[in-house]
Amino acid sequence: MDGVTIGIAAQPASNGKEDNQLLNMKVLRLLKPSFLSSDAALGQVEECFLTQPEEQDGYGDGSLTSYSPKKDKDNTLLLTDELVLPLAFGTMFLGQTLYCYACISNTSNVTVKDITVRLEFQIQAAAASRSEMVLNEGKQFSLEPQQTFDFVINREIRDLGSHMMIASITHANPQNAIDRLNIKKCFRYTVSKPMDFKNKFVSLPGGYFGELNIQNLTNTTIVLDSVKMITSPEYDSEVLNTHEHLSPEEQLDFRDYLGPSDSRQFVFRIPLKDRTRTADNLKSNVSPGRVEILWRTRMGDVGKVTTSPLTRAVPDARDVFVTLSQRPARVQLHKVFRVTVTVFSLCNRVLDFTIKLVDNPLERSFLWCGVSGRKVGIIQPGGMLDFTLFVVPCSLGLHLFPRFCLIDKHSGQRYDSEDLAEIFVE
Amino acid sequence: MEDNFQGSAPPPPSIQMDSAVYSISHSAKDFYASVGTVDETAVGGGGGGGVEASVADFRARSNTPSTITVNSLPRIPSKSGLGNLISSVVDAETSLKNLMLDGDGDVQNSIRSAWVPSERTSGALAAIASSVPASDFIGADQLSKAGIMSDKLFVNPAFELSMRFVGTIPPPLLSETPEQMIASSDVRRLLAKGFYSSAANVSAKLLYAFEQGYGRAGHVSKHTPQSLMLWMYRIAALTMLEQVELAAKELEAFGDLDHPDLYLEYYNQTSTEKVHGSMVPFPLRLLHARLPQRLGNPKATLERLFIVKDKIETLLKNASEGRLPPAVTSDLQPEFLRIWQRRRVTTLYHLVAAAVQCEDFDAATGLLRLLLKLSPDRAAELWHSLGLLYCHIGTPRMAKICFAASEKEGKKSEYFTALHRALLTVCESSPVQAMDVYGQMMKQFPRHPAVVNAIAIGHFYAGRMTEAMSFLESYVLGEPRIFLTEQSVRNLVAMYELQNIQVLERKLRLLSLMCQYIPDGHGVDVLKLAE
Repeated sequence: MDGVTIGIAAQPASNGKEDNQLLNMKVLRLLKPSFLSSDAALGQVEECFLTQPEEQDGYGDGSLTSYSPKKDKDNTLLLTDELVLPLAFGTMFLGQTLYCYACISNTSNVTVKDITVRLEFQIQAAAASRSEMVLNEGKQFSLEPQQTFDFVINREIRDLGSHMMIASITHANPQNAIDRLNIKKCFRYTVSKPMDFKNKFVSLPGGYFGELNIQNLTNTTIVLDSVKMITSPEYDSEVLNTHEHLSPEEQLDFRDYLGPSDSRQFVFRIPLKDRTRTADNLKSNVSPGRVEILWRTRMGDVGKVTTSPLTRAVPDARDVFVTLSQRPARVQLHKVFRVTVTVFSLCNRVLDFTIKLVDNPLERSFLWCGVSGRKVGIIQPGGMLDFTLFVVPCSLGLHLFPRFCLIDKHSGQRYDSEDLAEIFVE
Repeated sequence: MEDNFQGSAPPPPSIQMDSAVYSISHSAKDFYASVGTVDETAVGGGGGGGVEASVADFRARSNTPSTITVNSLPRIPSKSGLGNLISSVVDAETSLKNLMLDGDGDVQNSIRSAWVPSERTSGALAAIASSVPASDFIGADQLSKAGIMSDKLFVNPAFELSMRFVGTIPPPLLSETPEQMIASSDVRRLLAKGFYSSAANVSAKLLYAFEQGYGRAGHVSKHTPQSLMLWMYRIAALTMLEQVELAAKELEAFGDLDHPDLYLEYYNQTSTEKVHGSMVPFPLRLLHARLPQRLGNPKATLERLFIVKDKIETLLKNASEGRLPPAVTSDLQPEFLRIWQRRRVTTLYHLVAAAVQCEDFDAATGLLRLLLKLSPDRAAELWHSLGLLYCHIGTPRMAKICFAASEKEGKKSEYFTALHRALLTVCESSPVQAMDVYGQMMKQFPRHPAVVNAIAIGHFYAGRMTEAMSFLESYVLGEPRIFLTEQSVRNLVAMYELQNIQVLERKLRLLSLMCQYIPDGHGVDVLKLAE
């Protein structure tokens, strides 16, 4: 046990003149109780552990059914349902709540009077260390020999770094009525980061599309209980990779826990509630929101972390935004298919577009069907326009949708389409 | 080394046990002699009569163990001899029939000894079959030169602690005491009843008869199904005594349990009747596989278990295609498949346990779901286990799905329905919230240590340690036969240490109960008295 952990036998940091103290204080972190594991090499031999089989049969109330591990001697190598108190302090993670059972006992043979307990937390965070008073027991109390005073502390952990819980106990000196005796105990622990986030947001007409990558930084398994996007009021949010529509058994195929260093990707769609405000949205750099993660560790111990407001890449200043709003994912060779192109105007002028279908002699996976150079329509400032194109696939495989360009009649400006999509030809 | 084997009988082992080893405390010596150890004269290096240590008569002889000495190599029993031997060694009437032989005590030996040797070993065995002298091609590293590695006599650890801290030993109140089993050298029963130290001592003693006793490691000796059975008992006992390093050291001589001299074919040249298969008892393979984990190498355990599983798959695949081992007649095919399918299931259980221990939860849940497919008759139990595993991982959502499936599969059981509800509450909120459910369970099922402990834990988490302690103590002290379990002891010790009042006195009170009610005081280290 190093200085980082405290456990049931947590010794104060200053291990000085212990012996002549009248009071003793011990602290146990209340992690959830764990299952007693039967780790014997032979589960069957383990069955003989502590109770004799004949006596086990004496339960006699018919409560142990056929699949009771007690009666089924064949294969009881797994976890038992017997809960035992935690002994180790474990690791403290940001976002968890520290529950501690503290016990002050009078180990002497005299009555100790006028006891006061003061508890403070010191945080040596990166910025500046500070301390917070948690319990300031104004009331004085007495402890008879062998008597104890116990209490449960809970405290949400919101800072990383080295923490210290300092308990100061004062009491009257039984030998004389004048001075008071002090006992100071320190319990030190370190708070570490449970997970790492990486996010990427793509601005789309009508909202955002976001990827959030969560990586487990702990050395145990953590369960992602819920990952929620908390958006600003003008947005909705929708997780795209959920398993809620699956049957219970199918859900078991998708584990919701992360082993050490594992990471998981979540995909969100964050649509604008008012779709006509697309143009503003594409230009603004308001954060799409923050992500709140509820996670659990062994036996369901909960932690909660919220990310800072997420940032997104602000798209380059430009006049139009072109997207394929309707297209097939896979098409058949030599069969004409249609796509719908949507053009958003981000500029203040009226645009009058003519389409030019580009033919690239080096890459003819798709051929255009239709006339190049036709007019597609007029877009008002901030408005949008849909038009349809027909294409025929000429070779098998995954190919990029061919490029086209739009030419504004008034300014003569030419806007080339980018690689808009990949389409599979079969 | 090898000429030893080729030559006639090696000289009788002269073993002199150091009497100081087990007279740990003179005041308690008599007690130890009768409870924890074997008789000093048992193996005494006398030149008694020539005992043919085939275990069939070995057992009969073992009532008068002082005369066991060997001056001829153990006879390799013929096939029929093996049958007798198994039924005599395997105490069919014990209530724990399943204990060490995974329930196949009456299975045809030809079925149980089937195994797939490695290429090198099968080459060696094929050469023997064509009458090439063994020493020509079998390397020294391919022989199992086994021997007991420690002359330590194990004693009941609880008695030892009691002598140290109290000076006396409370008289045990067990329905059975090990003396009779020691006298009849009934290692299997000793093990089944939990007298592990005596089991370790007696099996070590019996192995002298096979020239595999203390000091014989590194010497060639002849293996028989009986000697290997004894090794299985010895290793199991050592494992239970937490003497894992010693167990691993003693097992080292056997390599991967695949040496040619562990196969019956190896001895066919000296025997008129041809026999086939491995003499290694199946549970010994599992023990061998689980050992590295206890020594801090869980990956090695997984690997060994997967090798065992692969071999079983091969046997099953061959058998289902009609390719049975030489000694198994085709009418035994259904039986063969049944036995080895069951062994596959057992191996998978061990794999799950190993995976849980090294926190490979993907493997653990995957294997459990494979088990669900392989043994649908155990679906309720397996779903229950899977639910517990998800609770352990910390995902009550998944646990709920599994518990629901378990309740659907199994017979309606109020106990398990309530237990599932309680455990989900512990996981989702806290043990304090779960107290309501456990309180209900307590009314219906008052004699479950698990329920009593859960209520005590609820009190504790609510900040009422004194109440939790006296509640649990009242059951443990009142009815130790039922409530003195590892779980109760662990919880009480945790609270004693936290409260820090009269810790030693209270622990000693538990120690005295453990001396009285627990065979061999197993699990006494939970008291943390030695520190």
